[in-house]
Amino acid sequence: MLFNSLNFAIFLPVVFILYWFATKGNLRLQNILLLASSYFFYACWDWRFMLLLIFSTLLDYYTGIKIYEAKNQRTKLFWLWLSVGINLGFLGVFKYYNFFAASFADGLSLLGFKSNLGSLQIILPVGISFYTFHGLSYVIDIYKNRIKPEKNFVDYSVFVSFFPLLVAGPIERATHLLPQILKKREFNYSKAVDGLRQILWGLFKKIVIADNCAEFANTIFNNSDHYSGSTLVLGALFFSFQIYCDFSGYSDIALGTARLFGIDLLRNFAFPYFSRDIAEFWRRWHISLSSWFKDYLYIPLGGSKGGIWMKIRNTFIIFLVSGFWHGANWTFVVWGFLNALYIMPSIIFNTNRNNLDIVAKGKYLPTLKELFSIVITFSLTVFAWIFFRANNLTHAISYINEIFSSSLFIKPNFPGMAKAVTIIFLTALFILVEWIGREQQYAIASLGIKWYPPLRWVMYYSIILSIFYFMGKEQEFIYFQF
Amino acid sequence: MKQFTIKLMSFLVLFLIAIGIITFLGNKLVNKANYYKLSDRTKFVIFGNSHSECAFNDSLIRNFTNLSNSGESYFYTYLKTKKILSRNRQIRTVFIEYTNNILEKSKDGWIYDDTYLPIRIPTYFPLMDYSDFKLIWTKNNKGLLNCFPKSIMKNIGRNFKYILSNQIGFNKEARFGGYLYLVRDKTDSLINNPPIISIKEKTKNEISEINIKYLAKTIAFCKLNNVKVFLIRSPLHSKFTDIENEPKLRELIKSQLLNSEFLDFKDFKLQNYEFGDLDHLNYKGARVFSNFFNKLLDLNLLNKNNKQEFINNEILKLSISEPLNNMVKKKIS
Repeated sequence: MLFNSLNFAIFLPVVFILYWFATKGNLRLQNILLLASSYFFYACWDWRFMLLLIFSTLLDYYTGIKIYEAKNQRTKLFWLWLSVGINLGFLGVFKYYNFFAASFADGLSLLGFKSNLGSLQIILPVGISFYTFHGLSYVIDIYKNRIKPEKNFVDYSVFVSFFPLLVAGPIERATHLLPQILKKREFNYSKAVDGLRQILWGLFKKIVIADNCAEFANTIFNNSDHYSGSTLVLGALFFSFQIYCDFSGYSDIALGTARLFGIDLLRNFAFPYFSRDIAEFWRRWHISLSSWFKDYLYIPLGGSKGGIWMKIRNTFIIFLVSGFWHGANWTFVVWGFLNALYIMPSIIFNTNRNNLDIVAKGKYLPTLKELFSIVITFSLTVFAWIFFRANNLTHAISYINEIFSSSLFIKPNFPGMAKAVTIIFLTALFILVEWIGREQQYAIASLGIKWYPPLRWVMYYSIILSIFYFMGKEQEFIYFQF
Repeated sequence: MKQFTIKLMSFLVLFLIAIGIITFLGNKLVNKANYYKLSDRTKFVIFGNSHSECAFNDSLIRNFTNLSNSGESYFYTYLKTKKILSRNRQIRTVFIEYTNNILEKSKDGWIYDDTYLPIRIPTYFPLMDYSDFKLIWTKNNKGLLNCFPKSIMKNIGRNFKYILSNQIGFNKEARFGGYLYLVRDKTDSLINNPPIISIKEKTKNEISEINIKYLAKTIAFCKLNNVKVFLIRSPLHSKFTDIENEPKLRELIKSQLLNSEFLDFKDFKLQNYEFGDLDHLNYKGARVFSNFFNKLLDLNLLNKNNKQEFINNEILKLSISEPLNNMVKKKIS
């Protein structure tokens, strides 16, 4: 069930009404309803993978208790590794087996041997990377004595399977979400209205910007041999806005939906394309994943405490793992490696925490220096996205070669140029709204709040109309595949 | 909670009312205007799918308008015919592309599957009545619901553009079709590497009853309005083999299509480079064929007693004179 589908448009109001009216504020009933609707939501993709989700939930629930109850460090460690091993094992089989088998076979064939490792005909269970990381953070936090295990299975299951975040995050922490699940929730008017507004903005980003940019990004990337360098640059730009609006749009809908049920999820995006350096970009892009890697990989590896070489090594490790987390393809690994390279100067010169505040705070425009930094950071990001989007490394390299050729100075041309101009105009308008709202949680969080109500409604209607007008076929969210 | 519910309901109800009024008034206005009015010179129109869309270059055929559209089923042709003929009384002759593939059961999807609905519904929903909606609803209710909001918005957008631009004639934005200038030329590669046919034979040989029903309705509508109607088949490459249902195609004309006259140009001779693929002409082929078709109309084809014989003779003449012409051209060069 996609957030941008008719099914969800029916599902959400039904669950909302039952949640606030039928349960009469009873926390037990509310959590049971949330769990049932989350499982229904997940089963709409493929009910068979429900078993995997339930097994993963049971595993972490049980090992969490066992770790907490263990009398000695050795037993604690046993239960921790059991959970980590099985969780990563599932992820490895479903997501990475075919990749490793193919890479192994390629490696052997280079040495003149033949591999008999066949590929598995399996589909990737939707959301597996996300709920696996949920579970892992939970058991690791118990092991580190940051939290106590949750004894109530229903409450714990809601933490893992809460439908707004089940398939593409944000990757929640037990320390943040579990207390909200355990606390009595009462309807809050302004929270609900704010949630609806965030859903609306998320839908706009996904349907109007991402899906339309996707059309052109796909055309250009899929036929890159036929286009000039300038068209390929445009293709990379289209993809950059597609992936941002697709994923941050999803996160907005997830956060807004959760707010309708009185739950606040972790913020996942904070206007990353206005970043002044790569370190800032990574503090603003897919925040829940970056902070997960920081807390559960970078710091356990020693973080920045062991001197500059340790810092460099650990940075490369988390970016390579982060790339690999996105998918079993060398293109993602190279994308991670590139980002690690980009961030190196600020790691070496210790400037990675220079830009902690939002750019041009309290001002209309950035300074020239800030603008220059934003453009450079954005360009580096766009360049890295080429690897992320390309079908394979050869494709990415030929794409980049064509960009850096004389055809870069030819006027861009591809099918649907007239529509593309409209989309470019809309994207520019979108960037403007994002710039105006960059100090808020999401771009339209405070836009029109103080306006005369009918005017504010006109703004909402305009957004709805544009969503309907530019709506195409239901498109899956990119991050569902991860 | 009460405040939230009341405000949300008011917001939605007001939205629906506003959309309803705008759609209703917009459609009224454009229907009164010349939204569907073709040039007064248009005496002949052709409806059909991509075959006729690519074959008939209407700028080369006198008083002729091509309103074919890729992937169009007869269900939509029927809606289009009703509207176009009612707004264009000057049209006296309608050609309808009648090919083997459109009759296949698998082409029912052109009416209601998720790929085609979002393209067709925005254009055709103002022309659809209850029974038309019911037909699609029974086949793909989810798809219809999904594309309906977009259709309404597209319709409003088009109406606005049309009214604001103060156009007088036919609205090309209506996307009713037109000649498609096809550039591709992949005939040789298709002959050398024929694609693997993936459609199951069983479905392929079944006939689409919906399409036949609506083709029959279109023919009946034309006849009722004293408009001559001809079924027509555009040129196909000699290597095109996807014509297993040929006997059925012929039989249906007698049994269900009111014994309509069938003008068959399947064997019109063209070079490989004049085909886009085995069943579509590219712009080069369309130029040759449209000039030929124009000549036949000038030679009063439509009033001949044995039209197919006349067509075959003219094709034969052309294939005899073509080598001579080529020889003359070579000598000159």
